Amino acid sequence: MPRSTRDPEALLPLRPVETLILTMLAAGDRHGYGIRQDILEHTGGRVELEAGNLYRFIRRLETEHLIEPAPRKTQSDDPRRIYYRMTPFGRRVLAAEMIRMRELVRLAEARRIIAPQPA
Amino acid sequence: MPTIPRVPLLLRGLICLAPVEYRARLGDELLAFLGERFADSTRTCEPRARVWLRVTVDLATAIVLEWLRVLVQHRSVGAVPPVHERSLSAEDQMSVIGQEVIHAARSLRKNVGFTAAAVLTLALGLGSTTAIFSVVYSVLLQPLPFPASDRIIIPEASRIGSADRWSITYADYMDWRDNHVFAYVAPYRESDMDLTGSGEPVRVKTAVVGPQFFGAIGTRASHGRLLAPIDYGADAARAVVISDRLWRTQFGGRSDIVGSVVDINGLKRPIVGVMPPDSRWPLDADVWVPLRITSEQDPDLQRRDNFIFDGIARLAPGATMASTSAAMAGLAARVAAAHPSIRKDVTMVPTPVLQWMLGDRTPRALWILLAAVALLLLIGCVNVANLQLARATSRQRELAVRTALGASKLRLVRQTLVESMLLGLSGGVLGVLFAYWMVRVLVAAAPSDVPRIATASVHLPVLAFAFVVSLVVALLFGLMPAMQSWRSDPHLAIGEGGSRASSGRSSGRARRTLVVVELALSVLLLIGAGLAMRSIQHLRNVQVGFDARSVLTASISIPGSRYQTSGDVVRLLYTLRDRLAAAPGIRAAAIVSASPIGGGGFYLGRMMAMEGKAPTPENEVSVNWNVTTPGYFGALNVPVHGRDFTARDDTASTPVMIVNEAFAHAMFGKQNPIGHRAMSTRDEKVYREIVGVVPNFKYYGVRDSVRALVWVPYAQRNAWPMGIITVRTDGPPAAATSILRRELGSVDPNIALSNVMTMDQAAARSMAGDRMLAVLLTAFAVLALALAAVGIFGVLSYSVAQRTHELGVRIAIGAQRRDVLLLVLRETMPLVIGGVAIGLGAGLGLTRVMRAMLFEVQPTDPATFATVAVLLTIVGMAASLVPARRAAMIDPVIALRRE
Repeated sequence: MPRSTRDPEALLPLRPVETLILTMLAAGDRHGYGIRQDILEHTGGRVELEAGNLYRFIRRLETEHLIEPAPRKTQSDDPRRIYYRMTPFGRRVLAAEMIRMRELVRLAEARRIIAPQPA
Repeated sequence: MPTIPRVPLLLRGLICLAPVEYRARLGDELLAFLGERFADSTRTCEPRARVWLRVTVDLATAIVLEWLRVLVQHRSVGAVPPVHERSLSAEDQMSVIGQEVIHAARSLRKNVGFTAAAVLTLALGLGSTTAIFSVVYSVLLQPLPFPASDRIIIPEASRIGSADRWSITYADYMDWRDNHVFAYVAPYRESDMDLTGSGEPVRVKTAVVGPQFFGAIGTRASHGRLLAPIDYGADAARAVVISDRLWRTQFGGRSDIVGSVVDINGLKRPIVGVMPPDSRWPLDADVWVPLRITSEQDPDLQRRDNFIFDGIARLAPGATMASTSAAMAGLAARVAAAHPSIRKDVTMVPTPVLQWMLGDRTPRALWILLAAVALLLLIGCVNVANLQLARATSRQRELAVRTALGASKLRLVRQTLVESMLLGLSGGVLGVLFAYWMVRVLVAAAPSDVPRIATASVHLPVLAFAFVVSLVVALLFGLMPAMQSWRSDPHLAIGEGGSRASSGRSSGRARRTLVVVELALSVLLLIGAGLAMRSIQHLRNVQVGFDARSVLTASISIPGSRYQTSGDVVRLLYTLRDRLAAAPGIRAAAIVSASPIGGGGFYLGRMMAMEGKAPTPENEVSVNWNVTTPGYFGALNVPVHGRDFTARDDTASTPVMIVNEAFAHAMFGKQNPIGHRAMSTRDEKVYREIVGVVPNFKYYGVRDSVRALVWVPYAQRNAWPMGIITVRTDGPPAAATSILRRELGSVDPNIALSNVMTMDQAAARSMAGDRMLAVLLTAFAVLALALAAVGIFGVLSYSVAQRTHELGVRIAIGAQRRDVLLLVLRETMPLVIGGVAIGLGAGLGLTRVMRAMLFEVQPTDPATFATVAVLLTIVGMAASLVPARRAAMIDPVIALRRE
């Protein structure tokens, strides 16, 4: 099946770690360790991925064509390392996931679990 | 190109175990990842053990999952005939391995006897190792339940160049606080207090803590709040924080606990918060109250030799242990320069809190035990390797035929390894079950002073450890047989009928090597066990110097709110003492500040000088200063040369003291000290007349050396509001507990009795650690000896069976049975002697490790070494005698007919 015609909704919901990886790659290309550190920072140290686990998620995202290896950014980058970037399809899936989460948040607000916040 | 930090060899090795495809895709990437991971962990001061544990478990899991993936993906491909394996892709090779796993399982099932023996041997070794590791993990490796607990340190005073450590002064604490040496630093004191709620008063361990205490440990309240600066104001309510345990046991886990008021040592205190579960540090406290300081200008607090506080601190952001040590040493050097008379050569050092809690002996004992089980496991491995070698030899024909039919050598090697892995993992699974049981026994039997042992269990990190060790072990015992099948020559094997004759000279040599290794390892273990046994024997025989039978002790603490003056305290203690002494069933009674053989209590370290001598270091004697009521030495059945104290030794009479012989000898030499006077030169500064001398006895546990001791009457000083009741009973001492309770209740019903135990119990407790070490080491050594004997017997029987034909020929052409016997023994004795000799040599290397654990036994104790050598030689000979006799009984006719 050609990628462009795939329905992003079919991949939902993403696992929390997958969502995190995609969100980090949305800010630019990164290698594995960079992704780990980014996640560590943005979750207040609560999500701490080790190599084997992280690359298992990365492979899953790769086989679904949500991310792909990126060309080297600059000369100073280490040629032995693999940088990943988000594919356009990946971006659509992430957006779909975020919309799904927003629906969930709205539901929580309606049920008074959390106070509504102006967008 | 930025350089990638180096990755530890072990991890690089681990990555090599991953499937080819995985390594090709991610190998470099993983190395780069791990390099940065380790470099960053150094920067952020993440504990090494944590990084290693996380990274290895993660990698091992990933590798196993990758292999499973490869297996599952290619199962559908079906059986591939292994014609030209080198040309197959990694995945196809994997499916071949999949077949091999099935093949190996079948072959193991066919050999039930061999499989059962191997799996049981491995389970025994792996189970013991896993169980001990789970204790090691819980006690030594697991971080404390506080955030970044590796940055919490205990500041202590120390003499430059010595390992002595003692507590700190308030003045030094103020230095650190004002110079921002730490992020947080607090002085604290431990104390026992009586908490009165609804029912009987209970004695609770209390930490009296400075304002930054909770900042230093970094914990948060689970209910309410922890102590805050407002609680330290002069007119603040006397706030108290309680432990989760106390909240649940004494207050039934009430949700409205915060704000309720409790009576602690006669003072009404509001509870402001509850600590989270497990955060009972320091030393299992149940109650935390603010340390109130009236004025920091108080001369007692300004003194630089008033080492009465404990301290706790958290390293400043960015600071390391080294930089903090330097900062503390710098400040201490300034103090030493300003107060040379009292602080010369004294410095201040930080100790990581976990290390401080565990002390030196517990980690050492645990590592020794882990090493012992590792040896046991190794011996088990050697046995299994032996079994496999023997089996490989008898399967040589099968292997040869398979080679001839086109199976590559690589494949045969792999087959052996796959079998080993299956055996290793089966042994591991059974071993973990065994470990579950053994950990429970260990925890129940462990001495109570081992911190954190109660948390030991077979949890995830331990399982990961068992898994990794099983695989490593499988490689260990699988390697030799694998090499054997690599070297096997098909033509030779088939040509010779593959039944016996030269079943491969190298395989015989390999098995003989294993016998030597096995013997050497057993010797090593037995030496360790023997030394520990000798040590415990010495401990049991120690003459404590007094009659410990029929003595019961119990401690009390006297609330300052109701007994405000020293006179009040003395009246209470002396009344209680008189009532106890008069009670039926009690032969003698006294109350003392510190009880012998680790019975607990309180004493002061002081310097004393005799009358007429200047208080200079060469004239001073360092003493332990205790306080007692009359009758104490009677209760211990210790003769007093001179006289005991009486009720008339009080503030109105001449100051007196009783000393032990060590003190008398240090201060007066051979002169009779009675009638002489001496004074505590730094604090009390009052001349006391020596009225009695008692023999030396062991004061702080059976390991204690002789030290100078001094006792003064409670009534002659500012009485300490605590004491240890010591009574000698007519009947069994434990039965006197009710008498103690009754008499205490009749004097003051609101004082609790705690730590009730007989002196025998105290003595047993002070040896509990040594006993456990000795018992476990011996158990492991006996197991090892049994395994080794079985192993040696197996190898020799096999080798005799192999030579049946040759021996038959010898007998047929006229050899005597005795000659045959000697022939076999001549072959085996060098192995036995060699193994024992190597073991003894390695045993000498134990010296450094064992010395600190032994009591009055040299780590090179000749008796132990000789006994072990003789024992193992006998075992080795016995194990070879049976096959040798069988050889001598060979009927030449039958032996030759087998050709």
